[in-house]
Amino acid sequence: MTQPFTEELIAQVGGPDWLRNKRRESLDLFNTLEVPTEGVEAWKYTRVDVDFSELRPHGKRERVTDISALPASVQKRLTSTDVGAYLVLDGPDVVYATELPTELREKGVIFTDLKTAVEQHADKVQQYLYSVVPAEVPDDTTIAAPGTTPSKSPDPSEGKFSALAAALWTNGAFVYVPRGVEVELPLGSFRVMSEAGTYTATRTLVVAEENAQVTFIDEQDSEDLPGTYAIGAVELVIKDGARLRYVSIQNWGKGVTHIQRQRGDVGRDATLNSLVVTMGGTLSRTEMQSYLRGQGSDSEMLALYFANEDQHFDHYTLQHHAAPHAHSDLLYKGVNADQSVGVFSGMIKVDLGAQKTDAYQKHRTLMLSSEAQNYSVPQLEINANDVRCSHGSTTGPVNQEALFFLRSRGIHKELAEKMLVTAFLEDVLSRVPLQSVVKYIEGIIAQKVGAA
Amino acid sequence: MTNQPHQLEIRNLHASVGDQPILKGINLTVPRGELHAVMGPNGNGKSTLAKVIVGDPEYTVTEGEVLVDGVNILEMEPDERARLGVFLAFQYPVEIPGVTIANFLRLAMQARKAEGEEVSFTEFYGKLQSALKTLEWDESIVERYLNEGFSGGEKKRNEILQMLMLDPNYIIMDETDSGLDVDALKIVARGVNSMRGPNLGGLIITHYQRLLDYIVPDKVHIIVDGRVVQSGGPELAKKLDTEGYDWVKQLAVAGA
Repeated sequence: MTQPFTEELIAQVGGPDWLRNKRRESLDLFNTLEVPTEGVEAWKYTRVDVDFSELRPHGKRERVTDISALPASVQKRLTSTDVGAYLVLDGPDVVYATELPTELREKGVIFTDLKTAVEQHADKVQQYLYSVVPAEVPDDTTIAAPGTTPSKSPDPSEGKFSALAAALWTNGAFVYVPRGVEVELPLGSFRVMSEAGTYTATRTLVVAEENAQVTFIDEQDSEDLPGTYAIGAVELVIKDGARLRYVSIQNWGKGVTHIQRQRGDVGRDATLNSLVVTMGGTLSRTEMQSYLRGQGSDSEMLALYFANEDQHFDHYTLQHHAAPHAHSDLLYKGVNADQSVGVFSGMIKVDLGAQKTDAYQKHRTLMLSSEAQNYSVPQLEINANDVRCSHGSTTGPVNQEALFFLRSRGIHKELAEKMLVTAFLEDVLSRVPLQSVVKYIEGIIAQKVGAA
Repeated sequence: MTNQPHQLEIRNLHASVGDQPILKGINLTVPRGELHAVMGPNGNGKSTLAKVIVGDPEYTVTEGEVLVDGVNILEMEPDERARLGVFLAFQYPVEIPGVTIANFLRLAMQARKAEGEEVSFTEFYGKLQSALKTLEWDESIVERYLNEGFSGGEKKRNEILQMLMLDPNYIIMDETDSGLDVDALKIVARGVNSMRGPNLGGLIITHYQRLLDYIVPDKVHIIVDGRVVQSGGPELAKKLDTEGYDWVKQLAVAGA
């Protein structure tokens, strides 16, 4: 195997010694791992056919001082957002940013880019960076009763892309909310790319200290960019009693391959609400993992996606119950049109000590074309004996009875179908109390449904 | 088309579900301006007739015609029939989470407009206000998802709301009275009666006399075993109410 990614790249992305060492180790790991093959359960239905030697890093873009100098799509998006502060990244680095309101800064809230944070908040970054999404694949092997066989450990190749994101990340968002502080308005990051045939590796770190509360919105949007790779890692630290809402909206242009591992470490009585929206790109693999470390912790995991044409969307989820009395509720809804492919692998894992676990998982797919494919693989691994777990998966065309009802009121078949597709996805959004983001997502859905 | 009679005419209609024939030669004519009750024992084809008229794909027409103002609608798509002015108040309206009543009503009204013509806010809102008043319903109801979590009575009321908004020429009410308490029954009847006039014709399908106390039909037809076995005035409904259906079943045997 060729090793196109060399130490030189580390020199370019830089950082203090501890970070450089970490990057070097990660790059070494990357260079020893294969791209996951179909023999790897977690990647069974998704092939990433990438020649790393053909890839170059996305070019750096100049920082601008005025919104009017940003790409048009970003400008448009910024006019309708209600986030309290945001970063704009074009390719590897920040090109524009707004500051947190003074009162939040005075309370000790930090919102900046990760590169800056490494310099200005070294202690915090060093404490948490790589703690939730390390270079290697997290070992979620369940703790089983003595004498019983524990679950299969992950395949090391599942760390291929996270190793890349650990070694070569250029920038991303850093959010830190001190103990007991509640941040009302969401914070956001708008990411674009503008150079085809390149790769971008980014990393986001959100830390909510005890009883803190914050919402972070992670949006990605671009023009069509053939042969372009966006590799990401998102680390969410939710300390005891804290509440974090995390939303990722992937709306890359055609030709983009998006591979991102998003993982939350949820403390005692803490809550992580996540929403994953996948609409863009050609190949998309989004992992959403909740590690329920603390007793009484809670994770709501929502997603919606609409794949058409030749899009291939893979959603991998993990609800890992490591403590008793925790609750997790997953609802993923997706639409597959044309020749698109949808993959959902949902894993519920319950450790030996995690009694009174309450875990739900539901995946529903709407198939709009006989040429589209859907692979839904829900899995349970339960090692405790007093738990409630359920999972279910349904796949089918639009509800014919509902379709007939709408048509019986004079609505044309084509429009009636679109109404039902929209309604199918809308159902997920009704659980998300973020008006402006919901409106934005509805706009993307309408565009996609309209084109289908 | 100007010489065509304004009426709903059903000629020798035969229909089946799968291999099972249900309608075996229905003949009925309802001029605009009249509402006819269709009665009969359960399982004899009343609801099938309703669904066949609006084009439910579950049913296959094997013979006959359904003429709306002289035009055979049996080859038309369900939405075309609706735009022609035929409206079915469903016995079991579906729940569609994710579609608000307001959006649904607006799109249904829009579907009746010529290309390039929009449903104006005043038209929509004016109609809505008046319909909600008739139905004693608060405006907030239209922000809810279509029938989601509605009681049986609310679903029926919602059918009448749609009827009032869409101004049909011919209504078919499929056992709208079933499961309604007397207050809900009165509200539904008020909605229908508010539309009665020379431009509205239709069929009131019911098993019981009850609804017909509030919506007095111009004629009554009795369907047994997929055929109309008796027609008459409103007194026929009263007779069924006191004497039951046994005697009409005899008529079917005699007729067969």
